[in-house]
Amino acid sequence: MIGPSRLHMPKALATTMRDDLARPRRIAAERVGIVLVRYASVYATNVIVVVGYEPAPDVAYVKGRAAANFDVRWLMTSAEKATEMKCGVLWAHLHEHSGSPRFSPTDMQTSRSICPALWLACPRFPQGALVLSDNQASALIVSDRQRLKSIDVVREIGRIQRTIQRDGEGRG
Amino acid sequence: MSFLGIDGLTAIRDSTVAIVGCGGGGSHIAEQLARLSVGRIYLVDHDRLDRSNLSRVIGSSAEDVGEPKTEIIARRLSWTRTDLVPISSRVQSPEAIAALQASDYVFGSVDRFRARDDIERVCRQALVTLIDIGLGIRVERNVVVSAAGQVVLSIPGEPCMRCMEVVNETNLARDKEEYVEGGAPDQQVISMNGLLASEAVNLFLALATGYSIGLPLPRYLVYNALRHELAPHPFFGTDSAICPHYPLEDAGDRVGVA
Repeated sequence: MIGPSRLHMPKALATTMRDDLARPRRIAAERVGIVLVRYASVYATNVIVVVGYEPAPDVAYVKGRAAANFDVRWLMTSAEKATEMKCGVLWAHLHEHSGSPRFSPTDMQTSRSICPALWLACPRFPQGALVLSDNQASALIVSDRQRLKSIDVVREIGRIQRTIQRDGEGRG
Repeated sequence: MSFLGIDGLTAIRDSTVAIVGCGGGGSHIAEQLARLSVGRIYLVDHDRLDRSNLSRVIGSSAEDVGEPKTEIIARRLSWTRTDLVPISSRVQSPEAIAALQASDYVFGSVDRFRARDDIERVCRQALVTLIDIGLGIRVERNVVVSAAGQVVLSIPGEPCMRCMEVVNETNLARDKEEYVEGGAPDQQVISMNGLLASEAVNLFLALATGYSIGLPLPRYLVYNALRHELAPHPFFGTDSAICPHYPLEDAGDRVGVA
């Protein structure tokens, strides 16, 4: 393992996520989705790669005070399917602004309750959360002590690729 | 004000790059990237400097013969703002794989097609963009019959070097041949290597800074030194296509951590 923690995300998949998460909704103020991820290799477990995306169906949302209340049973079922595909999951949502997004206090509360449970269910693969903005992203990952820590560098891979997030920058 | 703008310069400074092969091509690339103030460069090469390399390894001198090439380059460029990390081992080693996969861009500048294939596999596994250069010269009965090379841009999800026939079974079988077929190891290829290295760095600049936004980036540039031509390959252009050899959904490690 060498260098800071990183998330490598194909630009085409990031576009798919943004398009889905920005769809008009009646069911919740924010849509959520599941990002399928793996460690790059046994030698680079600080590097996480994004390999797929699953939108949350309308039936996965429930009533509640948070912006995106979703049925945790849907999330756990999705996580089980991800494990069968040899993947971990990042639960993802969109903040509709440009620039580096931050996890809000509500996002953090949700992540603290969900992500360690995902990790306990399948610690072999990375588990965490992703928040996208219109052009950038930030991610959290469960460490081996079941705590959440920020990914240092998030990179969209494609024909123009810039570092889109550095730890300590951004807004919510 | 730089033509790359403040954002462009920041993007360069934020970049982490690995160079595999620190000989004639790789030493050129390292020289340029360090002078551009790239944030960090991993220098990967298991080889030590041979007297025959002096004609083409930038910055080397007779006093360096016998030393690891990675350390010669790191020492020479230590005055720059770039963090230079020598990794004097083969690309298949755990430390080299970790470095490549923790990079934003990998530059491949190796002689062997097997190594070229290995580098691309490691990059695709971690969704890392690879820029590869190569040069070969063929001499028959004291006549240069071909002097050709290539610069290949291998972006995860897009066509790979197998798709573009840069790596194929014929080339893999030819791996035992010398740098210059029918020639001595001490070859005068510094200028040709420099041209290919410069174009590889130009591709990096375009990718990292987006300064040529709106213009398509070539996927495969073919170099013909006899005709003094560097041109896009006629069959492998800039159109989007999907790679069947490395599907995006197959990236990463399927075993996970114990």
